[in-house]
Amino acid sequence: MDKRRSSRLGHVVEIIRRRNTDADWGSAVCSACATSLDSIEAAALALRSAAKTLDLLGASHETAALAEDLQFSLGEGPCLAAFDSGRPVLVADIRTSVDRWPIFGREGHRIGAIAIFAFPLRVGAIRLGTLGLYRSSPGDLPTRANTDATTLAELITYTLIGHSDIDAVRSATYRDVNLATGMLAAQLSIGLDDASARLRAFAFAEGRPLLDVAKDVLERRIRLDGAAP
Amino acid sequence: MTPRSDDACRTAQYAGDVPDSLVGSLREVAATLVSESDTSHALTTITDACAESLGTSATVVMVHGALGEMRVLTASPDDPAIVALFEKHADNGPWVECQRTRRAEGFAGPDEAARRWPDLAADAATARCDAALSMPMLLAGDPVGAVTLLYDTATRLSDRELDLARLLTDMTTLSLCQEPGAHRVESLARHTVTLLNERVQLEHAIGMVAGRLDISVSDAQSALHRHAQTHGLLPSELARSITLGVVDIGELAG
Repeated sequence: MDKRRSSRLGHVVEIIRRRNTDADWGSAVCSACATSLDSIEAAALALRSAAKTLDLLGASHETAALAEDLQFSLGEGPCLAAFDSGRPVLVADIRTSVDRWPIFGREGHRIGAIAIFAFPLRVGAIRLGTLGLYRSSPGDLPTRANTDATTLAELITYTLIGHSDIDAVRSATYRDVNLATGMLAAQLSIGLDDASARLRAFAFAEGRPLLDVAKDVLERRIRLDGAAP
Repeated sequence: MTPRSDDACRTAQYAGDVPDSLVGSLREVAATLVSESDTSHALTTITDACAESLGTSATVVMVHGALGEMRVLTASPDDPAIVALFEKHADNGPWVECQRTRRAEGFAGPDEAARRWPDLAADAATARCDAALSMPMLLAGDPVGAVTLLYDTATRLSDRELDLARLLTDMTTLSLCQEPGAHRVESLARHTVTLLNERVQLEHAIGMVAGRLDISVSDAQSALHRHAQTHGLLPSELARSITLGVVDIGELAG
């Protein structure tokens, strides 16, 4: 990676890491993304849920905020598609996507969102939201920007679920933690996102490492719903 | 390979020609690389080739995560004890050392392990890893991960086997960046994130099956793979369906 590009990315990474100290973290991250990512003009960070809720964490420009809002109101668009599928949705020209998003395809460009690149924020099957990147002119997302956005989306995701240091990130992705999350979700008939949150909250409240709690769940020593196993 | 000698350390030599089975494996890997990209299939073929032609008891591929930490991408066979070993010692072991030296690093037996990586040695012995050799995955000169060959008995590889290990490692790296030219480095990151997410998703699904059917994790893993095979699905596809709730987990029982 050449020096200039790594220092631009490094700048965004620094801002992502300032989650706890920056009051306007969401918008700061979006502004940094818009400045640092090749050919991108605006960015928006949104938390979403399966129940179609939207929590806009930040936006670098009015255009991005409006585009997110519009997709939410219409219930369709690249960001929703990325969230639902768990895969990036890259649209070089929204005007040619009317069959996929009939209304947003027509309305989106009026607010200046012609090219839209939506990256899901996810860890495995746990979906948190999307990072939406926008440009007012048509054209593909350059490969480098695609890769950078992928990496940044991952970093943002880990930061959002409360793991921004290497040890925490590592232990959060351990096999036993993932297995326990699935087991908990099935046992309590809740979503994976909720199960993951419950596991982490329990570990935090007990002051025990996440991995230890996960092992207890797998060995059926605890169930986390208050009932005895 | 020749059978084990009486020496404490096993060595092996090729009689001369490259075994047919190896040629077949290499051909399959190359075909996968040039065809429609199916990275996880290519990786499986490569780790199978390691087992067959290098006699490994397990092969682990690690890559760098978003924060630079090393993470297990695949383990073949997917032995929980081995995965746990690598997760616990992700920042201390031959797989880390080889990133620094850009050369093969490892231990041929438990004594060497205890001498060079004392914190790792006891856990390695418990997981029945008496010997390990980590090959750095290099792309454009930079280390992007490691392929670690594991043996359940003291082992030292011959020069011929080292060459083969290097070849298989390079193919592993290639399988993760299937776009030509300058795009390879970028492609690696995308493929890596996808595969890491698929791994996590598979583990979520196995946990769900274990929880729903009230069975052990290893039974749940078997059930998932069996169901996938019966229905002509990739395990990752079935895992995705399970986590999305579109598959009745009850169908996996029995």
